[in-house]
Amino acid sequence: MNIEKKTEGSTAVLYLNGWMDTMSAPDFAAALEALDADTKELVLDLSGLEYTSSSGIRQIIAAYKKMNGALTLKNPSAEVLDVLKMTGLTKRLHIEA
Amino acid sequence: MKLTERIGSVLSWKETAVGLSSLGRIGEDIRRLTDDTELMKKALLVCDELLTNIVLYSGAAHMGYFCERSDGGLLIGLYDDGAEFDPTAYMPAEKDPLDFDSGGMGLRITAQSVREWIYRRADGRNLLLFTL
Repeated sequence: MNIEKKTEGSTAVLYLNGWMDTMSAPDFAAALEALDADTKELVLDLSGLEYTSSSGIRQIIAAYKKMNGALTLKNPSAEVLDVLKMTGLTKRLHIEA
Repeated sequence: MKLTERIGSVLSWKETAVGLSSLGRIGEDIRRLTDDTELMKKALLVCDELLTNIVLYSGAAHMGYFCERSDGGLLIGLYDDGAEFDPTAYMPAEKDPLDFDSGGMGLRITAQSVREWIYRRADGRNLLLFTL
């Protein structure tokens, strides 16, 4: 998985591209850890994320808690959205299609 | 053949290392069996979840798998010699989805993804067959 980061003021945008499984989810965890301390909002652009397992979802939950809810998921693919629906997270997370 | 009959039949298991890297090997076999991308990703997702549980929680020293085309979809099997655990009987307690970081999410995803699944404990091994 490839992760790109852009900053727009106090908003950080992480672009997740490729596959996020048990082996690559730690890369996302590291990217979260590396966010600037003054980041007030986090956007995860998932338009390039082709697949995620629960390991990736677990990191998305960690991101939500780290940002105290100031998290937006953008453009998840149909497969990723399916996994989010199976966990019930579509009812709790802010998702923009 | 029903899963209940299949699980008792001779199966062409491939032994593989008890490690997350085995997902790559299983994925290669799945990709050879289908060019249906959606089916392939769903199969990999289920294998990812089950394999992760085996590697992290079972204490297994040996594990194996097989996969084949079946009824327009896939039939996949996993075995391990770890602690007895029937994933088909595990019912994660209802909880706030944001509490799933503490466990249970993988099996919840698996239960909703498979078409049918069956478990047996035999000769000190957990055997699991599932269809997609």
